[in-house]
Amino acid sequence: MSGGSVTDEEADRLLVERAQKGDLRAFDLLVLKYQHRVLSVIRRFVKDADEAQDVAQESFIKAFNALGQFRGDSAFYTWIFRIATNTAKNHLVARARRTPVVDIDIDDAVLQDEGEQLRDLETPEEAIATQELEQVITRAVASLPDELRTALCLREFDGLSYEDIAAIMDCPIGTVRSRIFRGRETVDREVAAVMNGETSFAQ
Amino acid sequence: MTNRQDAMKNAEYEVLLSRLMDGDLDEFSTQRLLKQIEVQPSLRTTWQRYHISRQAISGSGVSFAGLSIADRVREELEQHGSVPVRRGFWLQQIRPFAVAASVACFGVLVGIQWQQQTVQPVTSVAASAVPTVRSMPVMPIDAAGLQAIPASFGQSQVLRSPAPVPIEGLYQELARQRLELYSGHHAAAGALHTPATLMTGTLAKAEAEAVKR
Repeated sequence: MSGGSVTDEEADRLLVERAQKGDLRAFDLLVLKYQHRVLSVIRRFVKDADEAQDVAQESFIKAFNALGQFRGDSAFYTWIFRIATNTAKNHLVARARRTPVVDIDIDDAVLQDEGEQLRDLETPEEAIATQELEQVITRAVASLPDELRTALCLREFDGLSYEDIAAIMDCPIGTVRSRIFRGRETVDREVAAVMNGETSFAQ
Repeated sequence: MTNRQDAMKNAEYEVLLSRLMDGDLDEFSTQRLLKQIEVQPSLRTTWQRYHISRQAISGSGVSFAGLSIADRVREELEQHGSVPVRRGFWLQQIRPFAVAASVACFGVLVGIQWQQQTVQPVTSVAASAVPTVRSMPVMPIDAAGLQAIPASFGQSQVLRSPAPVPIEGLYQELARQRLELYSGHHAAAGALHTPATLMTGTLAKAEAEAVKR
């Protein structure tokens, strides 16, 4: 097999490079990708929902301004998680609150279930909407044709590259590309319906 | 027809979004996609939903909380117009060398200054015309070394030493006197250097005899 898994680091590389050249659109896509995970990390320090979101916003602003110093020694999400952690701690110190006795390891923060942390931030209506969203996605994936479901799960759950998926499914890479997109497109139609219906929670 | 073309174009860019998620997009296509997102904001929302779906499928969990963070960040960056530059990167790289070079230059300048001061020729001037911090008479030197002139007071003439030499020229004067003494001694000894004496090692003996004469 060639290619192996496609890490976030590799997937982010082009966007990070564009963002370092000042492309706000590229950075915006990175923020959209990582905003939940960053918020989840911050949530471990800052319990208040509004404060946590303010700190998350501040973290991303700091990250953008410091992008020139990011040299790719670590993954982008590791770097931004570190900024978020430091920003959260500084926030607590600035507000004269005790910093947590037990710190969190960046690697642990990356692996932990961010959904669990974020659910504490949700209003009851948001919690119900989240539950519904999860059920919709699960049903949508289960309803996919076998080849689309297999390709999509190998990519999203196992993180395999197109090359590896093509080898497993014994089909060309172009076919893998197409199947993954069609699977995403189908699931996305269901997700869009839920989120459009719950637009007030997304703002 | 136009709607169908729009739909096809939209699907084309959604395919690019999907490939970008998986790191399967080249730089040119990425730039094309980013340009399109500017004029088609729905692509941005699609990107967000794709990642929500990914989180759900991978078991990371999803949430509606925090969905507005990206909007706030974008708004703030657009307002302030920040552009990340590699500020100070090269400055940080050359700073250690710049410091070392500065210290070296400083050392060279100090050395040049010191050297210029020490090689200044000592001129004989009247003691009263030469401002000195301290001045002291230079003792005449004989073959045995320094010999002090005894001081005398009262009616007898006081033997004055030569005009005081500024302290800065003291060592130069001392070195000059030493050199004269050495040259004279060497010249006398050189006259005794014959092939025979050098070969037989009788030079020292010959020098001693010359002194006695």
